[in-house]
Amino acid sequence: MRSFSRHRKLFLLALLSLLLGCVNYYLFEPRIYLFTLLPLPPEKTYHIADPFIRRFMTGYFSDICWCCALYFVTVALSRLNYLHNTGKVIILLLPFMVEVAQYFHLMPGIFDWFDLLAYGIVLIVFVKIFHVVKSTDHDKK
Amino acid sequence: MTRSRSHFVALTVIVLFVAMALACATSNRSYHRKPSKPIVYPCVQHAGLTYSPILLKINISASYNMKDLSTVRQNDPSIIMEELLKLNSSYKLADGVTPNLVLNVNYTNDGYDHYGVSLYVNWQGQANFTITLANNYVTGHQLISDMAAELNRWVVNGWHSGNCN
Repeated sequence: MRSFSRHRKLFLLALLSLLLGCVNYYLFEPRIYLFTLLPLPPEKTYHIADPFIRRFMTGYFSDICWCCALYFVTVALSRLNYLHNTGKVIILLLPFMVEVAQYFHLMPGIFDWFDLLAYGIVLIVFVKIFHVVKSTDHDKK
Repeated sequence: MTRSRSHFVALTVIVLFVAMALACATSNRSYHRKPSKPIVYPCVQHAGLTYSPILLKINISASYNMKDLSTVRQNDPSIIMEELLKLNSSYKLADGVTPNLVLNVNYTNDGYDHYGVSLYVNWQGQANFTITLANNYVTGHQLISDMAAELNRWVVNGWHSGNCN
């Protein structure tokens, strides 16, 4: 029961990350396809005075939230034993693969080296804190 | 937990998050203007603008998915003004008054990080002209500097609009 509650917390954190990313997009970069589909009130872009913070919020914050949400889900699913190492590794590398796909214009979006750097930092933090990738008995078999 | 079930879960997560990434790609909807059918006006020659101040309104857009358009919209008008003021001290940003010239700056990109610009200039809603700089620029500063020089040349020496062929 306690374990289930812990996993639920991870899923909630994932949801919260996604929500934060969405709110950030809505406030600072509302030109995304998602908002064209939703019946939202007319967009009003808010302005952040500091150029560094503005660049971070408009360019990277939502991407980082998306990456964190993905990793929270991965941690929860792997603790629930729904994922084996192959699946985990592919999911953990997904943000990098998306960025590479953007570089080759296989996906809409803009390739950015700083996105890769941010994903790398998030990945290291998650691997260190949650020990996401470790060999399981099943994988050894 | 079977391996195939694990793969199914992994695939579901991947599909879900890739869909989110696609949904969050920047849309061009605000910046794509369907070209309207051109109206052919008679050729009109306009003298250069000699009065001062020449009030400007600057609209910035991009023909490609610019990652940080809102920042560019905040920063570039002052950079453009700075470049224009180096050439002619008559320019001033219109603030609360009707502008003399509306500059519609549309940045372009050839997909290989070479930049260009299409500058559509509207003089009091009557006499328009367009300046196009090809995607041969690697730095925004040089692009803006050349655009400002070209614009100033037209504004000072005059221009023609309408069908002058």
